[in-house]
Amino acid sequence: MLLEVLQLVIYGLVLGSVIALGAIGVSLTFGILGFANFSHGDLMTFGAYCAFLFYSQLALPFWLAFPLALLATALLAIVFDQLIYRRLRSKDSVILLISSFGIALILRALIQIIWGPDNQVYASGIQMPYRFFDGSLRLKPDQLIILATTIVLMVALHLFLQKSKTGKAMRATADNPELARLTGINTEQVIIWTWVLGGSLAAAAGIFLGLDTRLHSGMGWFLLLPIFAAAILGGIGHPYGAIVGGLIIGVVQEVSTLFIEPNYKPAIAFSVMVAMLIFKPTGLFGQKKT
Amino acid sequence: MTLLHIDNITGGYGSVHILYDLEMKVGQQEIVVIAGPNGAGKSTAMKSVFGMLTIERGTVNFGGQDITTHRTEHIAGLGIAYVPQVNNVFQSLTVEENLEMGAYLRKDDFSGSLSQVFALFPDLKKKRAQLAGTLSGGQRQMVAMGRALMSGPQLLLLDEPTAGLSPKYMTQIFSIIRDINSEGTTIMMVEQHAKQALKLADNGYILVAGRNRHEGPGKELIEDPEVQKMFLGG
Amino acid sequence: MELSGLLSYAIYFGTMISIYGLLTLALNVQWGYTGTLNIGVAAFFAVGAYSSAIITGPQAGGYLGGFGLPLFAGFLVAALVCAILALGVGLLTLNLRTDYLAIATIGIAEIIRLVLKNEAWLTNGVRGMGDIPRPFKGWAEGADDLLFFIFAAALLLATYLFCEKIYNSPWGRTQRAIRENETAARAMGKDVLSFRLQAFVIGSAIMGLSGALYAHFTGFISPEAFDPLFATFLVWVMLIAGGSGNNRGAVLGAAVIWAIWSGSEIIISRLPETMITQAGSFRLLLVGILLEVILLTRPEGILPERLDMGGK
Repeated sequence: MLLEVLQLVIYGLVLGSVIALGAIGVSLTFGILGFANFSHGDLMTFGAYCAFLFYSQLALPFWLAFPLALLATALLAIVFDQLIYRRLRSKDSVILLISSFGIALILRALIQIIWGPDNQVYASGIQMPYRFFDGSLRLKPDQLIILATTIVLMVALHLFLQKSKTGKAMRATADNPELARLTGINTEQVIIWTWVLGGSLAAAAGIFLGLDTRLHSGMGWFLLLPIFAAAILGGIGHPYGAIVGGLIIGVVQEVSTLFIEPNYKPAIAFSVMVAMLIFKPTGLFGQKKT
Repeated sequence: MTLLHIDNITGGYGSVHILYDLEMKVGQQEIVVIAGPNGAGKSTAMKSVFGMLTIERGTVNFGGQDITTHRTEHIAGLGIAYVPQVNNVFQSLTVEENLEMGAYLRKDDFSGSLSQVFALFPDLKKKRAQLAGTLSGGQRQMVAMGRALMSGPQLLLLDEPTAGLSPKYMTQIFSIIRDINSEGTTIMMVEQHAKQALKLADNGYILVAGRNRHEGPGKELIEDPEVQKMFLGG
Repeated sequence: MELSGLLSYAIYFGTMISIYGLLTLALNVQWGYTGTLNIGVAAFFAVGAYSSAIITGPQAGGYLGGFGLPLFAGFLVAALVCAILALGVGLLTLNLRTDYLAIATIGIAEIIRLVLKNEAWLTNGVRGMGDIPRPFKGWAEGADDLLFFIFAAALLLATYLFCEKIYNSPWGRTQRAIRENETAARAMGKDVLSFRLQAFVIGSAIMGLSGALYAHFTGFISPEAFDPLFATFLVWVMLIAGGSGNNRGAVLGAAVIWAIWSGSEIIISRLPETMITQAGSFRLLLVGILLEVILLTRPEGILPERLDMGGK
């Protein structure tokens, strides 16, 4: 029983890594641009398919395909921002939300047109998992890669947010956009960086999800709910909160399969989110505005 | 010499007007206090300087430059710093990071300003690594003022710097404002505690319903019987 | 033959517009009147369809049914079940900020989708439910589609009149006051949550009616038919294109966007053979771009809300 729970916790951390990487971007765009970005899941899908293009179709080595996919996704996010969101910035945030909903579908349509409607995998063949405790604890090499790369990405993110001037300005803007403008922070520049971070981490999340399961055009959309749940759990605008929120949601979803049917995993994320919104809407790490 | 001239402006938020034919002048190195009853448009007058409202008529002039239509981010770079009344610190940033953000636009070395701010607010030096959101109200006000000073402003706008503070902190803040001014920074502030504030002031403006009602040297305004009756409980 | 083919297409077209018109009117009550952001339209549409199908359908193997109640009862139950669902969801979430509410409604839609897929005892799962009674069958030889269309159009008209009536009532004015300035409405002593809840429940009940209409029109429903694309996204595009806040705009938007949507099917059917599998994606792309263009160029829609009617 204990090992069974431990196994689920490990799976939960793998899923939680994916959710956390997605939630960081959602939390930052929500905090800085002020709207819930419904296209974030499809940005993840796009990143996953970019890696498919570079790695599986163009046969580039994975260490090169991975950053290229991150870059391509970040660029795409900036293009959408400059083309559409920038023109809607003065409007009500709900208009931006609806527009992001449209972009989600545009993205999904493009992915289906370019890569076809069928499922894809990065590499076929079955991986032999590492086994511990006579095989009652298993971990696939890919899952190990996911966990390790996630840690590297988070350390890099941490250094950027803590040490660089742009990173600090980004945290400041997410915390209090109006005060950031008053202080003279160039918010348009911060917004570009937000998309660079959000887009590339979304791509990483998508790639990891594709690595752990398979690629299909709806993969990101269907993860949107747990991602929002994680961002809200951690407190909107708090990237570190989003990481913790993502890991919690991931683990809770996996461990919940001990008690409920696995099909209903997303319902767990939803319940956690609603409970959070009702009892502490500022999130675990958010503070009330004075 | 006039540093800031709010020249006959009418405006507000969107199509809702709050200020009518408002006229104010702030001279170099002065302290100017804006007082008046609640809802008189005192904070709005201050925001008009910072490009935060729609100005229908009139101009805002700073150091000989018309800044009426400038964007908020740009105005911060001209040597004006603004401390709003609420939400005036980055809560999830440390005290030191808050101060660094104040120097965001500076290309030069700002360590001198940092030690100046710490000299003005010794409390902050002790708490430099603490998150601003965990500080008391008075300490937050200090962080907010410190952040504004880090840009090395010519003109400092303070919106009710003593609102909600204990008498002890209030006296402290007022004396710090005097210190900041004596080091050459011009100050324009909105204050509810009109009597104490006007004592500091070179000039004062009393607003009622978005219009100028009284103006004059601070000490004269305190003496003015009508002003006393209106706000000073006299 | 040519003419009768055209006629039967027109009847089909009109019926679909009636179904979508109901959805856009319903969404307008929620979003246009009150500013309640519901991204889970598909959920209520589906619940309405399944409710009526279960209530009126014959006994079939393996899933709930066999009540065989009349059509009228089906529609009533569809509206009622949706209203109760909306009441529960609303009590839980309507106090939230608009954008949080949008996320919550996605959650509801996702859970409903999972239930439809997984609870085979109730819905027959992914295989879907067939043999849903088609009304007017055999009433007049060859004219049952026409009769159904007349019924659908009458339901749309009645709903439109109802929506207009409540829009122009004091109740509607309060809703708009809440939408424009919630704090002020609260200060005037309005129970904001209660008003929001009422609009949400009314809108959801109408979505339920639309679902029932759809179920009895097609005679077969499965989870696929309630993909968020068709049942949520398209409805949003319709409302925004038509003009949110304006009931006539809502119905017009349904007609125009449905025409474009069906028209795109004709264009795409002429694509080269190799691209035919992606036809659906091209249509999705088209509607997505259309939405962005509307938001950027005419966010108030074809028929904007006549705000002078509002008064405050």
